[in-house]
Amino acid sequence: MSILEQRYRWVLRLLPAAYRAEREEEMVTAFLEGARRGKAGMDDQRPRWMEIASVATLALRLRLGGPGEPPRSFLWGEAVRRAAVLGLVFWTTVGCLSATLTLYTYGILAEGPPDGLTMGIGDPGSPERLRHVLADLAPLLWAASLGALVLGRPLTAKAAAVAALVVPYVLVPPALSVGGWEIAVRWACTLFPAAVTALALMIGFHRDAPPPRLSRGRALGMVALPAAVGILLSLVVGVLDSLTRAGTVPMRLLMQVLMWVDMPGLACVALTTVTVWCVAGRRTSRRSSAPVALAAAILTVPVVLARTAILHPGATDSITGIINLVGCVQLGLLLMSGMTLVVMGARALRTATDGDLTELRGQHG
Amino acid sequence: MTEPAFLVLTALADEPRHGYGIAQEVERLSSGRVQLKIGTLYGVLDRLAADAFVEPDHEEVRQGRLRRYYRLTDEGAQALEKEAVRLAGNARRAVERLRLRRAEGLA
Repeated sequence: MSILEQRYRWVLRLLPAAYRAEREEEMVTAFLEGARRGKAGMDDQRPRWMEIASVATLALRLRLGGPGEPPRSFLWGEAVRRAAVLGLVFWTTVGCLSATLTLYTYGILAEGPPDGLTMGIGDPGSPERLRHVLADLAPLLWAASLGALVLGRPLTAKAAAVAALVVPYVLVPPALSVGGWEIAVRWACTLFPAAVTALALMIGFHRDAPPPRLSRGRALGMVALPAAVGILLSLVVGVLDSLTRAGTVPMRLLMQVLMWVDMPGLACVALTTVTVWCVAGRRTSRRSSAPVALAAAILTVPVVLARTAILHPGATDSITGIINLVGCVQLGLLLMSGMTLVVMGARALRTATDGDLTELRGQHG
Repeated sequence: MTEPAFLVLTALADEPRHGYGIAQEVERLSSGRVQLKIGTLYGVLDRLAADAFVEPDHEEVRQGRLRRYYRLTDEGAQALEKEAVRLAGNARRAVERLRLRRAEGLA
């Protein structure tokens, strides 16, 4: 066996075992015949990147299968697709929360913070301020992505999600060179949850697994509900902020509340709620909770990293002490939820049969 | 129907072919423009087989290597014909419009 063949067979290990048992030999033959005629070049010691990419794409499509694929593959596919949808719902809430606070901070929609208080970045009307305002409003693109997905337009949804992920950092590049590698790692960890949502969206919905298309009314409701929650939360934060300035609410209490409405804090609440829903669903034998449990387990990993990234062990000041305390409580909740979800998901994968998944397959039409 | 799927069905219209034979024929049919990688080719074949447009024909072992041949089914031939008529109609309408444009002196 040539080195090229050995390496191609190694690449084919990306494919599911059942598929490989059926196709490996003829794929190797086809590849080597192409290589012999100069497509890959018999002198090449390894398959070209485009060949590897084509196998990797096929592997993803098979492993994250649509309704026509075997139970395990379909269950993994549903888990990744639901991770994308849950992630988009979450980021729509966060986007609307962030956008409403931005409009308040810069006094765009309502009267801003009291005179004498420096809020926002850049002088009014300056290009620098415009860049920061646009960067803070860019997360609204998550809502656009969710809307496009539930209207059955996955390509638009993917483009909007990538834009939501990238645009803020294009407009306001992070100052990573200032704080060294530690700041860079912390920044990467906070970016991770959004990146996982975008990735799940990119790989979960493909030609064999298009999103179910909702009516305009239902699609609007699907976007409006998380958006309304985000706006409501921003009002709560705004009121607490004003009360703290007036001296009615102590700063320590404000910090504790803020830790539950920042991105990892909200994610912690959301994932704990989903875990409770899945456990309740298991008791009532709700079939659809299995892929949701797997999806939430997938989303828990980046949230744990994002929450850990803001902790500063050993800090002595009281504010950082509150951040560490609440952060540790949230990490405990996330780890408990995560372990419960992993156990539920693993059990569902082990016992997945076609009969269990008939209802889910039907949702794809 | 995607262009690779259309070309694979066209490649199988005259005779059953094996994996690399299909890739070669697709390249020839598209004048070298479409070069199917093996992973992509088998993805297309999977979808066409799921739609019952192609099916395995026979297998042969040559120099110790397995070749599996695929053939076009009757459903596949109908789907290919329908798509070819649709594309030909589009092409004819485009040519007519361009002729009119030239006649009106717009080009």
